[in-house]
Amino acid sequence: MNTRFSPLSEFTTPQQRFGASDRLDCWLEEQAFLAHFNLRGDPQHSDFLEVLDEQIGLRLPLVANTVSVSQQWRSCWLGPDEWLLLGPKSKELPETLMAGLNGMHYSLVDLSGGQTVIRIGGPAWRDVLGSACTLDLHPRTFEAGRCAQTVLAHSNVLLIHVDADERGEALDIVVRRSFADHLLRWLIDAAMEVGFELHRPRT
Amino acid sequence: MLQIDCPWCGSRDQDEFQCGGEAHIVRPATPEDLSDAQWADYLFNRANTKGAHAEQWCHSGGCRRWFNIVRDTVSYKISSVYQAGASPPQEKP
Ligand SMILES: [Zn+2]
Repeated sequence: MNTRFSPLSEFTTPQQRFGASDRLDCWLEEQAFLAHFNLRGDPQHSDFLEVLDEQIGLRLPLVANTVSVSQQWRSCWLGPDEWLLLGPKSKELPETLMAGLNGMHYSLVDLSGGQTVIRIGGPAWRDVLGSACTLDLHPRTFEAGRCAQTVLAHSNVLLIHVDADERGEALDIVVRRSFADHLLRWLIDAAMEVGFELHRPRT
Repeated sequence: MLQIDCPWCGSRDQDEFQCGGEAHIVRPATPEDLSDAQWADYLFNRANTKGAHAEQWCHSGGCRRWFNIVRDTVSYKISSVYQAGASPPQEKP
């Protein structure tokens, strides 16, 4: 059997509508089976950024809490020498990275099996998040190109602003798989007030 | 709740941080040359300052970097934030 189960695959009931009101101002969906790589290296090292940019086409963000998009990859700032690379499952990226960075001081860890992504969108997603998130998510401060690591409902998460979803502005919540079930249930509870739709995990 | 300015992420709730105690305590270079009393002093004895106190904090719920702050232990007011490894700022008269 080759069937794969994503961390939130049990939430499969398609297109469920919930909520206390007639409103339907939010949707939730797992972005399953993405590739997650944690990359660490010294951006002061003359070759590190250059190799990534020129040979691999990855432009790492150097400004705290920002994201840069290159080709199919989103590179999210996690620390001054640490990034999360998010993209489609690929054997190619780690291989080219390892070949390009050979001899340099770096670390590359595949976290794909250890975390997942919950995407939340719809006109009320900020209100849903706002019931536990202490960050200022107002569009004035949290806009396209921003990400932030924080604690949400007792879970350590990375929030990434999404402006490229065909359904409109949204937010990706990167969470450890063992927290994913709890966090999704928490989000469902918080979203009940505005009414929401639970989509089948997107793979 | 304190608002702490992470040198990388900016102002965040205290909930996202862990305090690592007094800053600028240097590990003795040759622990084997110390007496038990000297080693215990390094391990356990702290200044217990009343007033401006340099301490280490980690943004454990965010970027997970360590840094230092100077916090008044009476008023809890944070007067400065600086990078790990940097010297504490000179006190203003
Ligand atoms: Zn931080």
